[in-house]
Amino acid sequence: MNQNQGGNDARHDDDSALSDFLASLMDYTPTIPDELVEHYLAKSGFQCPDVRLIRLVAVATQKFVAEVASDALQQCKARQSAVVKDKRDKQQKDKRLILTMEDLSKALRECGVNVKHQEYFADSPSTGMDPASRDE
Amino acid sequence: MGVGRVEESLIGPRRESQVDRDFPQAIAKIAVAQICESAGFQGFQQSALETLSEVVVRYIRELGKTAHTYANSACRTECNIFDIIQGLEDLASLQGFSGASDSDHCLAGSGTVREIVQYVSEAEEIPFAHSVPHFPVIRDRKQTPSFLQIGEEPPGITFPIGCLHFLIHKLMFIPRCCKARRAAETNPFLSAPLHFGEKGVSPVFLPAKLSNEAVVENQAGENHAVANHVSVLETFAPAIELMKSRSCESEEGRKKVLSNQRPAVQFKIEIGKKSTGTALDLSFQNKDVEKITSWFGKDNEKDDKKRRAEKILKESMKTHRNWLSCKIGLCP
Repeated sequence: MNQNQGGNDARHDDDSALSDFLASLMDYTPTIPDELVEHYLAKSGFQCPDVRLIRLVAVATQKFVAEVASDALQQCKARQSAVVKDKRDKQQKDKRLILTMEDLSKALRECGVNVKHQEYFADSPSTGMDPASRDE
Repeated sequence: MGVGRVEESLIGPRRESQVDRDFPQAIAKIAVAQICESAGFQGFQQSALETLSEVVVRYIRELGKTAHTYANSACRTECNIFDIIQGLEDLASLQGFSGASDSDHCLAGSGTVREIVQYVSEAEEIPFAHSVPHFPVIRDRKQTPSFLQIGEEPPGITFPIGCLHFLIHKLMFIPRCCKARRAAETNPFLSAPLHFGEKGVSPVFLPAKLSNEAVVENQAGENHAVANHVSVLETFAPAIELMKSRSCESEEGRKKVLSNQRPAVQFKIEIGKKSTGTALDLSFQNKDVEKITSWFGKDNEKDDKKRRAEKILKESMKTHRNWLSCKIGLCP
């Protein structure tokens, strides 16, 4: 009996925590605007007049992007620290952290998104081949 | 062009127009750039930014779709908080969250929600850089006013008398005369069966040399007739050939060799000034119906062959839609 009561209390706590959180969402402005989220949710058939749920989706998406960005940043920093063993001058220059496709694809792979990036683009099918084989 | 967009275009035809996608895509890019900037990035590769914004858009859509599916499974059309939490759990299942292995945990206390709560409490608030108007904007279409609304009379429409005549006759005669023939033409099962000893022969296309035996007469001397002389011959060559071969068969029995002496075929070409492009002529319907039926009534044996010849003739007439109308006379 005590366990059931404890269980009920926990559930009530969870419910109240959730409703409190949703109320607090109205004060928090997510970076992704509500109109954008509403637009894309409407395209998927999501119908809900409650603004708090739109905010919840916006916040969840923001969290997702932040995670991916931080993973990519770690990749970028790791790559820079590995390269900069040659000269100390280069370290000064390469301080700019730039989001590249390489880092992004590695970060997204953990989330299950496979982004393949072209290594290079050639002008024609025979570019870079030996002259002998090209003539054939 | 980013990698994301290139992928999209390679997949297949775009369902949404480019205009519909540009504005929300641009807003998504700005928002993503702001979030990445707060994470510590100082610059972006164009392709990387576009790819990430594309992924974000797909995340939102996937979340909406999953939540909607869960709502439908519960016999609802409107989604509630628990549908969204279930959608979040589905999307986070790859990375994992605390409590993912519990099969019967309460959704309100889900690990995903707790993570979001934690994120909100820790992360700084970054409002969007610009004010976003409500979109898509629905514009009232200004329709062109009708004549009644303007208070004007519509301009009168004049038909040439010949055209009107043609229309009336076409409406009156086609149902009566040609219904049965048309039924036979369109439906292969309604065509007359072959008699014993006969064989269905496919039309033979004559080389130019043999088709010169046909005589062409021009009525109402127009220049067009002379120019189209050869083309008309070629058009009716298969019909001519079929009729010739049929007559040979019936006369000489099993011989299928083409004889050089064949009855002359006379063509009469008329050019009628019609506004519509059908190949049938008024006079054809009016005067020659009796003629044709009388021919058909002559020989019972040759009935089927002539009907078939007529059918082939009609088909070749239909395929050659030009401004000529033809009267065909046969001289046995």
